[in-house]
Amino acid sequence: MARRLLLDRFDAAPPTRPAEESDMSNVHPSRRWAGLAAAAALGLWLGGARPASAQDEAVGFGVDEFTSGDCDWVGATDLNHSAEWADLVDDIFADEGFGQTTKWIDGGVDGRDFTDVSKEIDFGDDDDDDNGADHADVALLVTHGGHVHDAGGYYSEFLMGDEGEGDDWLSCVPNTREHFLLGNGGADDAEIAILAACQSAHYDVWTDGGYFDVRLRDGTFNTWLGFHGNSYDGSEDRNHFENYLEDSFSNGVGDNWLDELYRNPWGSDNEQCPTAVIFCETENDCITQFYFGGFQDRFKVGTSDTKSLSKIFYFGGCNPGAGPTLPN
Amino acid sequence: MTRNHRSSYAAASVLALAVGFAAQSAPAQPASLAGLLAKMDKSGVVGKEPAFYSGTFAWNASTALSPARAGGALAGEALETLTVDPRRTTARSPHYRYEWRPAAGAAFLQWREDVPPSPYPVPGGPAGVVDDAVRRLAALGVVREEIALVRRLPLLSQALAEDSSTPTAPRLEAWKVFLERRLGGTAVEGSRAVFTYTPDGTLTKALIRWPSLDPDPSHHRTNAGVAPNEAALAVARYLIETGQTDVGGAIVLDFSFRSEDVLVGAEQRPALRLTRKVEATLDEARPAPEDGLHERIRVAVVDPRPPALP
Repeated sequence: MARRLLLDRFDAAPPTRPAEESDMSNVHPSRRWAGLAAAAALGLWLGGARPASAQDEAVGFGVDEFTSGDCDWVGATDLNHSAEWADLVDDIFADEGFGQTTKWIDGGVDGRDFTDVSKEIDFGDDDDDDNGADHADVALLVTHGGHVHDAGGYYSEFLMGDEGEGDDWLSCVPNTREHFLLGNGGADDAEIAILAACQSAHYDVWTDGGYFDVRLRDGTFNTWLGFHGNSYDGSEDRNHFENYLEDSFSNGVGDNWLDELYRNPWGSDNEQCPTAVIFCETENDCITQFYFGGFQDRFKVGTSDTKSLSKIFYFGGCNPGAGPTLPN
Repeated sequence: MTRNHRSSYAAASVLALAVGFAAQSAPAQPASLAGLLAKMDKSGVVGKEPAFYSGTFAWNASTALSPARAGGALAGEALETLTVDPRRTTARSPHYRYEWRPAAGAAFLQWREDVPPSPYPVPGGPAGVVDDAVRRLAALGVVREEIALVRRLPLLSQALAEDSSTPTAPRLEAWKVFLERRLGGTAVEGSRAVFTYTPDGTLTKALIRWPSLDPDPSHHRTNAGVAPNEAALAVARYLIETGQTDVGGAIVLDFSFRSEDVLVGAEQRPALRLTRKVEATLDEARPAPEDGLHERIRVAVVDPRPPALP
């Protein structure tokens, strides 16, 4: 509890925003325990906040630093705007009345935040850890990504800023098949995930059912937003993401994603192709969520629906880098 | 369907991918200014000397996007205001719901969820949606010279059942018309209007962000006379200063107007003050390894002639 009070925003907390001033968002929670425990021992323990599950929660994870830290062996290039995306989640969801919003950047982002212990991996901690992606209702990850599509399986993968506890190098690059599982722990689990990374909602992975692995048939998770092919790290994209968030609390959580994040820069074969994957029971349910779901009400057609169907939405003919042109 | 495979494949594949990523994608490191300049694709800034729009900057999003105005111009029917708070105003008409965020110059018109869709195609049906979108935006008071078509795109969907291995065929859900704001041929970053139509051409949505501009043209910096080579040099110097020299592919240049928020007029209404900058897309920062991680494409924005410090 102590670390949440110091790191997160609660609607029961004073109007100041401790998360912003903490400047600890690039340090994973587990590494702060010593300091926080000491703070508690010194009488800084604050009680009275509501449990996290009783309120709307959003969390933003963004990695800009790849040339230092535990995962630098991958050799990826640093990015410039990932932390800003996480800031936007932290700020805008708080302004819109979410009871708890959190951001993590760089070394504060590791495989535990997006992996599930039920997938038989020893570093899975996304819902047991209060700050993991599956502890929130809406989660964002901004980083480098990719996809695999061969005889071994079909999945997207994401590069973390830190390898996490246990120094398990696998946790630097968790993937949707072996590691991710969202919405599997109860009513307060994730319903919407935004994956701002290359090939994060890749058409080729979807056509072979690759994203079914990130949810359960009877779980809460229903909306997976990302990109087919390459994506961009620019201030323009950051601004469009801000617009997307501002516009999508009531309606349009899927449709607005496509409208705002589509990009057609100078040149050729370089469009940014946003895609939305919705899980539901019937096609109409998916369509309703795509057009009329919002961050406030999330799954419009009810969280009890069976998520046995997956529906993808995309722009026909969109032609990105690092991905085939989408069907037209 | 192979999605139920479970194996130790992942460990081996991730290692292989990561090694491949590091080994195959090691970029050529242009260590010098000349090395970076050699990678510049200047086709996007050639022949784009500014012909800055010389007309009025009178468009006022603080009034033009109000429900009273947008009802007739956008929806074609009166919008009744429902709620007003500091962040947004909501309204509805017989067929549409509407959200207006005055401070951002943003509006969101959408066919109401509780009203069954009915065919009400625009003139020309699907073939007329671009003209219709431009007409509606102009009806809000946006001058036609500012409105540029990006693309008309089909929104498609497909479905896949968990126990099936074959997705349904692509289905046309809607037509999307992407419009952007251009001044003298240069895009204004962040100004965009996306109109959505059913396959038969009925308007179902308009997502608009078209903020006011500072009405005094002299307050905008057009960086007139910046030649392609000057733009390229400014970008190369910026990349060296910021350590972003690990570029494997081309550096694609374009001009765009970037903005800062200001308050203008006696009523201190929000507006944008523009500066024409060079946008450098570090295309394919590293060659993509087969079936591995891909890096997000970085976009650097550089003022080719920054104002002198006071």
